[in-house]
Formats: sequence, structure tokens, C-alpha cells
Amino acid sequence: MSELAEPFSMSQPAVSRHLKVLERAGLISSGSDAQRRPRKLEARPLAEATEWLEAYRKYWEASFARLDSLLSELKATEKKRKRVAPKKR
Amino acid sequence: MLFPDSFKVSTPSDREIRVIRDFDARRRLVFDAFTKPELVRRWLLGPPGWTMPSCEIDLRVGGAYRYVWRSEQDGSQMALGGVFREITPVERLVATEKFDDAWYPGEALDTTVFVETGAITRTTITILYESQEARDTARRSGMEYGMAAGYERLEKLLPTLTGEPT
Repeated sequence: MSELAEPFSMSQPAVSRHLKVLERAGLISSGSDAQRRPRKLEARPLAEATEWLEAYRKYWEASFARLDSLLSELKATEKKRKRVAPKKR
Repeated sequence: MLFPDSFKVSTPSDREIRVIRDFDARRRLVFDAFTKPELVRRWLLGPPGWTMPSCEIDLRVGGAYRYVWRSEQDGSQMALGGVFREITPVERLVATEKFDDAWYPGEALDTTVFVETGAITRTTITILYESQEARDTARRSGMEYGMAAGYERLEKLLPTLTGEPT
């Protein structure tokens, strides 16, 4: 615990609370030997979350890229229509 | 012109997913692209290899919408529908959403907001799920769904869409 707290300007109880949250979320696990409770990073759920976000981004990026093309086409059509529209008066 | 830099996906709360993107167009046009079936069908196509054979939108409060996608490869279908709860033309849309064979519990609520700054329209889509579990299940399948959408195939697709008459 003191090792984990060392790099942060945070009290040990505060670090302990953060660790509890991480552990509840399944992102770390704690082991135990006689004096220490070493924490281990559980990388898999983190990797899954990141992968998901990346795939979700790609899906929307692809759709939005098509929407960009569509919008520029709509703008071009509008301009053309304005130019072609007969002038009144 | 493309605005991919503005693109953000976030999870503002346990039950939400938010997508933000700027578009180089007046919001009147962006709103149309989100609400006119003949325009929605041009861009909301699902992963590469899927088409949108049916898109119905009854744009009024209490009106229903329904999107149907089909895989050209194996003919499997996927449909999403819901009801409009709130419509402020060109500014804001609130609608329920549910997939036909939903793999997550309950309906989700979509709020789409269009904000125009100069000639740029920032579009913010927030999907609120019934529970964190529902959101996470939807996310997980979204992952598989998105995996199918490789950049390589997208790049092949783009030139065929630009400049093509409706």
C-alpha cells in the first residue's frame, strides 16, 4: 500500500479507497503474503473496454464519413438549384 | 471537407454513451440527413457488406421510425425502431430505440442535439440505456458489429458514394 501510494500526493486512506473501487470493478486483484497485499493489474477487462470503444468509434466514423460526403453533395445541389432558379422581377 | 478531429465517443454516466461530431454544413441539412428516409439510407448503412433496404420515419411526436439492415453475404436481417418523444425542428430529437431481437433488456432513449456555429453543425447523440447492464451488453455486441467495419472496406466504399446522384 505505501509503495502504491508513494508516487501520488494523496493520503494512504485515499489511495486505499481508490484501490477498493478498482478492485470492485474487477480491474485489479489483491494477493496476500505474510506482510503485504500486492495488487495485480487485471488487464483483460481494461483491454476489452478499450477494444469495444475503438470498434464503436470505427463504426460511427465510417457512418459519419458517408454523411460528410452526403452533406457536401446536398450543399452542391442547393447551390446549383439557386443558380438555375429563374430570377423573379 | 472532413471533420474527423471533432469526433468523440464517451460514457458520461453508467447508463449512457455519447457520440459527438462536427459537420461542415448548416444544421438544416444535417437535420434532414438524420430525419428524411431517402437521406438516412445513404449513410446509416451498418457495417460494410450490409445495406438498408427499408427506412421509415414518421417525424412527429408519437410517430414511429423503423430501420432494417440486411447482410448481402448471408441475407440475415437486423431491425431497429422506436417512437419520437420530442421534436424541435433542426435543433433536437428525442426518440426511443429498440432492436427487434434485442440482446439487451429494455428500450434505450436517444437524444440528438444539433448546434450550429457559423456554417458548422455540432451533433451530439446521447443514448441512455435502462441500466448499466443493458448499456454494457449493447456495447459488447457493438464491438463485434464494429469489428466487421474495417477501414479498408470503408475506403473502397467512399468513392462510390461521393457525387453519385440520388
